[in-house]
Amino acid sequence: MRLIVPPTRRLIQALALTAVLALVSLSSQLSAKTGDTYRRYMSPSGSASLDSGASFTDNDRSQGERPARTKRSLMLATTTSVDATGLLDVLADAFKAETGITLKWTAVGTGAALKQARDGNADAVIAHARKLEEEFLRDGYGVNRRVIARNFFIVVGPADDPARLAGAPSAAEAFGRIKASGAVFVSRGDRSGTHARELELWALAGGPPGPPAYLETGQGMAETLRVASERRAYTLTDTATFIGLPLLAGLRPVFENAPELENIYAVMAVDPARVPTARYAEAMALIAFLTSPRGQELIGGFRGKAGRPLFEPLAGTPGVDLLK
Amino acid sequence: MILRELALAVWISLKTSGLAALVASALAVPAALFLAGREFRGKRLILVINQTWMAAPTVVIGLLFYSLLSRSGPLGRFGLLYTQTAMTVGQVFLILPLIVGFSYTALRQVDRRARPTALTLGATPAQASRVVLREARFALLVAVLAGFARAVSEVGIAMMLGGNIRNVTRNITTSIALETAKGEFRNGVVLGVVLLVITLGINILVQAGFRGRDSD
Amino acid sequence: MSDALYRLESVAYRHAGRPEPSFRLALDALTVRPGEVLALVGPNGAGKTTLLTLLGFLARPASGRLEFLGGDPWADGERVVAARREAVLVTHHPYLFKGSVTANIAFGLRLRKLPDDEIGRRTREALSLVELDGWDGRPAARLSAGQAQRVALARALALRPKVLLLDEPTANLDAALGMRMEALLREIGPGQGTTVVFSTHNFSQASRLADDILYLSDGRRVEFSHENLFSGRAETDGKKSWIEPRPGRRIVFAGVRRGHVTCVIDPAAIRVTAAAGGPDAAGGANVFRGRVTRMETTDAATALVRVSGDLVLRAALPVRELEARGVSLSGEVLLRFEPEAVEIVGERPADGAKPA
Repeated sequence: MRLIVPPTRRLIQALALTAVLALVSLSSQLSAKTGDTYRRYMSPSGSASLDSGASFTDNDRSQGERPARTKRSLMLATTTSVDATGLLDVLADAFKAETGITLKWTAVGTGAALKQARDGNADAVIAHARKLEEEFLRDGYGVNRRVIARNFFIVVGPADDPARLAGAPSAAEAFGRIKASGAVFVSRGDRSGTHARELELWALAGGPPGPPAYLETGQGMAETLRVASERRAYTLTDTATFIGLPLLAGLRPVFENAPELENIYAVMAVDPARVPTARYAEAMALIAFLTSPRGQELIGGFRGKAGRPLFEPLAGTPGVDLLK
Repeated sequence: MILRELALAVWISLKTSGLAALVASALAVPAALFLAGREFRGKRLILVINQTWMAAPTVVIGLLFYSLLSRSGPLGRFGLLYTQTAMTVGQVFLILPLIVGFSYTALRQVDRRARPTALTLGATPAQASRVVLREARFALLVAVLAGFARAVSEVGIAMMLGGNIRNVTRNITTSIALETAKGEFRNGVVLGVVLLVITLGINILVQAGFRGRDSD
Repeated sequence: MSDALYRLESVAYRHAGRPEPSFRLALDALTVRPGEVLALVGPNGAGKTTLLTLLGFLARPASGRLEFLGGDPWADGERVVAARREAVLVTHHPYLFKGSVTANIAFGLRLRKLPDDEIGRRTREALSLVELDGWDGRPAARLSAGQAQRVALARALALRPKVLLLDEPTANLDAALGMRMEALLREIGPGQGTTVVFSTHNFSQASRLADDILYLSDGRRVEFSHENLFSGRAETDGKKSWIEPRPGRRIVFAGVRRGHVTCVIDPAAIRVTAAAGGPDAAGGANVFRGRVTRMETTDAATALVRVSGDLVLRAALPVRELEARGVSLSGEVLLRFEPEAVEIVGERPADGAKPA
C-alpha cells in the first residue's frame, strides 16, 4: 500500500506554521480589555455599534463621523426574556417618535448583559435580577435604577406531574418536592435573571439537586424549555416566553403565583464617570420615558402572542425602587 | 470555566465522537468489503450516493435527526433528544459515508491475488476476508481516524441534538460556541487549542505510522 | 476405480466477463491418481492455469462432474474448505502477504491450528527444501521474483498437502536453480506420497519430471504422441519457417514463427517409401532418409516403424502397405511429410526472454 506521504520535516514545518497561525489569530481574543477589536464581538439581535455614534445600519455614514443632533441612538443591553416578548419593538418605536433617539439592543443573559455594560458596549441595561443589579450599582457602573414592571415566573413540568407539584403550599415546598422525587429539572445555567431566581428558590429547599437530575443548558429560555419538553423535566420560566413557544409537547404550568416567583424588571443607566463612552443623556432619556405615564401605559397595555398582558407596570407605585 | 467542566467537555467529545467512529466503522468496513469484493448492477450508483452524502452539511443532518428524535417525531418514544446518544447517532450518520469511501479505496488497493492465495492455503471465506482486511489495515485505520476527526470537530450536530447541557452533552465544540457567545474568549481559546492538539495529533500519529511501515 | 484422486467428466469452465463469458476449458475426461506427477503442457492461453484453478477448487466448473477423493468437493461450504486444504495451488506470479517470510509460511499452518513448535519446525524445513535457510525474518516485500516463487513453494510444501498444484514452477528461476527445484519436485512425489500437477511450456521438463502429460491447446485436450518431437530456433522467410535440429537437416512448417519452437509430426502423416539405393539428393523440404530400426504393430492394422538416420522419426502406415512400399526391417527408407503436417506445440520468444 502506498499513499502519498510528505516527508516528516515538511510535515512538521506545516504543522508548526498552522499552530502558530492559529495561536496568533486566537490570541487576539485573549486580551479581554476594552478596545475596538473586542467590541466587535457582541452577539446582537438588534445591531452592533463600533463606537459611540456610528452604526452598521446607518449606511449613509462613514465610520467615526459624529452623528447629527437628529440621529441620536442608544445601545441597550437586556435579557432574552424581555426581548422574546416583542415589547421592546413597541417601546422603541414610541421612544423614537417621542425623543428622536433610535433604540438598539442586544438580548443575552442578565450576567452577560451587565458584563457588556461594564465593558462599555452598552449605555443602559434592563434586567430582572436585583442582586446582580445591586452589585452593578455598588461597583459604580450603574446609576439611577428604576423599577419599570413586573410579572411572575412559573414552574412548568410534564403533564403527569410526577413530583406532585400542583397544590404545593409554598415555593420552598414545591422545589423540595421536585428534589425529593428525583425528577429532572432543567436550569438556564447562564447567570441570567431567571437563573439567579432559580438558584434563590433552590436555596429555600436546601440547594439544587445533583446530576443526573439537574441539567444546565447555558442557553436562553426558549432552548431551555425545549430541553425540558424533550426530557420530560421541570423548569422555571417566565410566562411570556412559555406562551410564545409553540409545540412544547407535554409541558404545562404546575406551580405559580407564589410571592417568591415575583419577577421585577428594572432599568439602569451606565455611569459615564466609570465608562466615559457611555451615552448618558440618551440613557436618562430612556429611563424617563419608561417610567413616564406614557411608557407605563405601553408596558401595561402590551399583549403578547397569546393576547394576554405580560407585564404589570410598576413605576408609579411609591417606594417601589427601594422595595423591589 | 473550572477545570472539571473543561475536562468533562473534552471527555464528552472523546466519548461521543469516539463511539460514533467505532459504530460507524463497524458498519462501514464490512459494507466497503462487500462493495470492494464484487461487481454488480447498481454498485456505481451506491458509490455515487455515498460520495454525495459525504458532503452533507452537519446542520442539515442535525435538523433531520432533530425531527426524527424529538418527542413529536416518529422516534420520539425513545426520548433520545438532548442526550449523548443522540449526538453519537447523528455523528455516526455524518461520518458513515466518509469511512465507507476511504475504506473502499483502501480495500480496492489490496492485491487481487490476496484473497485466492488465502483460500488456497486453506482459509475459509471469512478468514480470507480477514486477511484482506489485514493487508489493508493501515489504510483502514486512516479511514477510521479520519471519521473520528470529522466527528470530533463538528458542532452542528452536537449542538442541535445534544442541547449543549453542561457536563452532560456539552462537548469541546459546543463549549467553544457557548463561551464565545458569552464573551469568554479565554475559555474558548483553551478549548480550541485542545481540539487542535487532538486533531493534529491524530494526523501526526497516522502519518508517522505510515512512514514507519512504508517499507513493509 | 475408487483410488482415483480426481475424476473429471465433461468439465467445462467459462470465465465470467462482459459482455459475455469467454470459453476457457472443456475436458471430456481426466483421472488423476494419487502419488502421480502430471504435467500440463501447452502454449499460453491453452487453459493450463484454468485447469489448475479448478483442481485447486478456487473456481467451480460451469458444467460437468468433478470428483475429489470420491466425493463432490463443492457440495457445501465446509467441503470446499476441506478440499482446498488438501490441494494447494502455487501460482505463476505468487502473492506474498505483508510481513516476513516466516509469517507467510506460518499462515496456512496456523489456519490448521498446529502447535507453535511444529509450525517452527515445518517452516525451517520448508525453507531448507527451497534453499532459503535463514531467510525467515526477511520482509516478503524485499524478495526478488525467484525468491518469492520459492517462498510461495515453501509455503505450500510446509502444509504437506495431498496435492501440489504448480503453475510454471521454475519460470522465474535461473537454469541452475531450476534444475535443483526440479529435483525437489521429483522427490516430493514419491517421497511423501504427494500428487503433483504442474504446468509448463517446456516439453523437456515435462518429459523429465512427469509420469503423465496432458496436452492442452485452446482449452481442449489434444493428443500428441511425443513421438517426433523436435525443438529449436525458428527461422523464417516470411512465408514459411523451419527449425534445424541437426545441421543441414531442416523441418519446415507453415506460417511465420520466430523464437524457440517445439513441434511434433504426427506419425500417420509421414509417407514412407523404400529408398532407391545410394545416397539420395532428394532435396525438398521435409525429406529424410534413414534405416528402419524397429517395427511394431500398434493394432491389427497399423504398423509403427522407427527410422534412424538424419533424425529419428516414427512413421505409421497400414500393415498391408508395408510390402507394397518395400518397407522392411533394416531397410533404407525415405520419409516425407508436408509442412502442414508439422504441429507447433510450444513456442517461446528468442532465448533469454521469459515467457509472457
